[in-house]
Amino acid sequence: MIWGCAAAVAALQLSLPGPALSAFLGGFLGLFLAARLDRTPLRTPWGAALIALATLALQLLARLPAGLPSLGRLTGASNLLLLTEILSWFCLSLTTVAFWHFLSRRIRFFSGLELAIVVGILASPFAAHRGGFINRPYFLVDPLWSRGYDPVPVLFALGALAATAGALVTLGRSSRRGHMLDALLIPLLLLLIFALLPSRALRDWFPDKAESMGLTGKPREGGKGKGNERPQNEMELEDNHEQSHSPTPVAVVLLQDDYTPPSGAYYFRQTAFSVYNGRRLVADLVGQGDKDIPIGFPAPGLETSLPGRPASQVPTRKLKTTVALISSHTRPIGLITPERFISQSNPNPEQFWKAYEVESEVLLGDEMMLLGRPAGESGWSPELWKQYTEVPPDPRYKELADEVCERLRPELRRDPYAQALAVRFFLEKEGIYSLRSRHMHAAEPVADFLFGDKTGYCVHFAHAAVYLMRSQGVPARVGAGYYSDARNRGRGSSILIRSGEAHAWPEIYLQGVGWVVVDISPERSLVPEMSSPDPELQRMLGQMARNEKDELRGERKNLREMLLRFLLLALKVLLLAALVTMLGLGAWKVWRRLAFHYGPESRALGRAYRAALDALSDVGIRRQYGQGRLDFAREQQERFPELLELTRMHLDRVMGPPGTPPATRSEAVRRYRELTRSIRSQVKPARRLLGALNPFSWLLVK
Amino acid sequence: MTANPTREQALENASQVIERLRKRCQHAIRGREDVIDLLLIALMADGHVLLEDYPGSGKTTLAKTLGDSIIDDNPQEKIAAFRRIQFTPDLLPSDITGVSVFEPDKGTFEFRPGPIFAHVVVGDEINRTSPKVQAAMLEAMAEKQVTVDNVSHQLDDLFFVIATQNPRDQAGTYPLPVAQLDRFLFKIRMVDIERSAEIDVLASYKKRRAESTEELPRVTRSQVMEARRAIDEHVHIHPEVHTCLVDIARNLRKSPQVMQGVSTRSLVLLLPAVQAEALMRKRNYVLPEDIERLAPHVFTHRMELAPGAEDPHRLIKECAKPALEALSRQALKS
Repeated sequence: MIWGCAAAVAALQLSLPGPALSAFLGGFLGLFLAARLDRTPLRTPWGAALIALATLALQLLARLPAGLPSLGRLTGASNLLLLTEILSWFCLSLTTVAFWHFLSRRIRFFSGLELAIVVGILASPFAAHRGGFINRPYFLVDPLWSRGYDPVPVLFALGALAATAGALVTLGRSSRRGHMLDALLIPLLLLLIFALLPSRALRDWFPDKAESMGLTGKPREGGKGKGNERPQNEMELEDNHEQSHSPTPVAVVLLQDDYTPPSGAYYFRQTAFSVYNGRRLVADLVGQGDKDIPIGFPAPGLETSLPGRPASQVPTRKLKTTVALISSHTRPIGLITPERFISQSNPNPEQFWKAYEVESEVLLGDEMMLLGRPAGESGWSPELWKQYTEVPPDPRYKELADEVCERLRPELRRDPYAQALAVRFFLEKEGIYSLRSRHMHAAEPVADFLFGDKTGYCVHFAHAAVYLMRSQGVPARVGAGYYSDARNRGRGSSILIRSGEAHAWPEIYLQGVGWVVVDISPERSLVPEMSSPDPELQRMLGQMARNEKDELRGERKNLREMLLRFLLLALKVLLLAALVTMLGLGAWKVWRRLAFHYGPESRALGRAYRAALDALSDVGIRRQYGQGRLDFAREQQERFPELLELTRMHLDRVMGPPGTPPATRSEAVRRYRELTRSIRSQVKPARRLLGALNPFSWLLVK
Repeated sequence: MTANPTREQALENASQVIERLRKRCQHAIRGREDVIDLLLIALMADGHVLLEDYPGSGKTTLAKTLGDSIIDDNPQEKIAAFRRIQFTPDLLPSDITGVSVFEPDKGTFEFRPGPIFAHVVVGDEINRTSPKVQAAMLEAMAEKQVTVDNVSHQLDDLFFVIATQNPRDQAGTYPLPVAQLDRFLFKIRMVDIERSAEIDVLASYKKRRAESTEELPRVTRSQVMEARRAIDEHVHIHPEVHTCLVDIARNLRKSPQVMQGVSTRSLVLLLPAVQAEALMRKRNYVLPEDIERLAPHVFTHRMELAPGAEDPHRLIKECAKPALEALSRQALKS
């Protein structure tokens, strides 16, 4: 059954419900097949080989219907595809499950492996949640979020359940009591762990993958970072770049006004590299230039202002954005060009690491308006000019740049923006985007890239472009941060930034405009394009960042109110029920005291005796469990001699030989009155009052 | 209690018989009221008693007094009121049952009854004799007859045995098996009498020796038999009492501390005993209290405890409690 579920889960992630169902069936049958095969005298390797062969054969068979054109005409192409899918999943899960289960039945080692595989498959839908996809797995989490609940406790509970079940199975206690004990102890332990562990700390155990760009991670203090950690202010030109196209969310940005950049992509700069250190560009630590790079996050309640753009000569506008970082970062990121960072309270500390507001001066209009603007600022010192235009002492850069710019129309050959564009187009045409490159160990990695195979990733391209632009005298630097395709935004106002979108790009400085991004996206890429973000997740995180949970919270509040009201109602009902019960008991007590006056004569004595016992019970005198009635009466004889007589009369009637004439009502009443009189004379009034008010006393009469 | 004058009269006579016997016994023995009561109950319930106590605790005196208190008014047979048999290992069955002796005058064998032909027989240290003798004794107790030379001789209807055994000093004894212990209605373990009673025994010793019990009224054999019949017929047992007894027995059998529970026969034997107890308490019906008082004495020697269990009296009390309580509650409901 579990195997079937595992197969279905695996199939569901890749296919439709129909094939998943067939996978479930296949897995289920696979178990039986394995069991059947296990009973045959077939030797293990042969059995495994047989199943493997069967896998191949069945896969071929399952694909067969797709190759039959007549069938296709009969059912329609889509149905045929579905059929093929169903068949192939069925066969695949059948043979796979049979294979593993057969092996696990035969060889001990494989039984552990089998368990691991099953657990792995079943856990895989939940793994995404940990990676930042707080809306996965959809079937479980979506309904929770939509009602305004945090699914983490639910997931924890599921995990705890699974762990308990696993532990119970593996412990394999023989006695039922042992099982019960385990079943009680293990969840308790897990609960303890859960209670003692803050959930944020848990998240910190799983570092983000965007680390490789040096963007994320907490700011290190005073170089205390460990040796293998990358300094935060430089960017390695490494081979086998780790930056996979990981879709783990790292931040969500809310646009407070609608805006689509002219370039078609949002650039969120975190830092810039402008100082040439003889090998590559590094951040300006001296602080001469790059004054527009924020040093750190704004302190709570404060804001950081940056120089931003010079008095603009191109159409720009101010745009406020709210950034909510999901994973920790060294510096704030801001939509180009950020001018002010204003700290903001974290809308949801469970989900976000930090939140702040950014006021940016964004470019409007066409990129072509940037043509014809001189590079640099007239007020720049020669040192600053040198910092922004320094190139490696390799003449090839200049030669190549000249050659590239030669292709421009003569009137644009000296135009900085046109030159930058020329470099960009050249690299886009010639370069190949790849995360696997071989330049790291070259003396000049960038030269190795540019004058070699031109295969590299964004950092290579950015560096190469900056060197080429600088060699033409255009001040340029490498900007680093995240970029997000404007198309990904969809119709909403929130932009989900994922770790795979960490990026480096060249920027040039134009007079009266400031730093302008001239990004390079090579035409040829060896890396599959990144999928667009999950719009649902983007919307949800946006809502959280906007604190739009208010709406949800309202619903929750309503729920809480309803719960409270329900509790109150329940309390009232309980109180009322208690009151009614007390009154009922009291009324019944009074009736028992008076009953001997009414009803048939034959029952009067029994009722009088009962009333006497009630009266004694009121003042706390009761027969012990197992004590004889006569013994009890004899015990009380000194204080209440009337009881003994009454008891004897009653027992004569009840236990005595039939035909004994019962005592008359008047006699019974007389005895009862005598008894109550002696109770009055011997018991303190306070005790009697207390007893009279107690509606339960008669319940204790045996 | 005036519905049936004859019934009332019969019960009144029976309690008078018991009262006279009790008075005589109490005069002879001091501080043993509980044992005397149990003895009288056994006598009325037609059962035998096994006393477990130490030498010198007055059991022979008690038995002798009891035997003396009963006047034999049966003219046909000359039966002694009281006999005492000291059981020893070399005793033979014929020593207690009697033997056929050749009469040279008549030329025939004539049966000479043994000491067992008496109203009240005291068997001292019954566990000291051989199983053969024990068996003969116990047959006589169960069947009220002895068989000598294939001729059965009927014992008196009143035949009442008080056997004793010493709880210590078990060396060289033949302990009675449970099946034979079953012949005794009660096994009474006598505890030391109270200090004041013991002082009283010493103080009144001379006086009591001087004024013998002769002055106190005695009862006749037929009166005792009459009392037995009256108790059996006229002391009422409520049907719920039967339920209660069965429940007690079942509880005992179920208890993990009991290896061998009590038999149904013991319940049957208990019935006349509780009737007698009820009469001694001046009642003509049985109450849970009667059962509570007698059950330990009837059940202790009939069951076998599981290893590790001790204090059968407490165990029986605990097992009886729910059933007795149910019986008590029943009394309030109806």
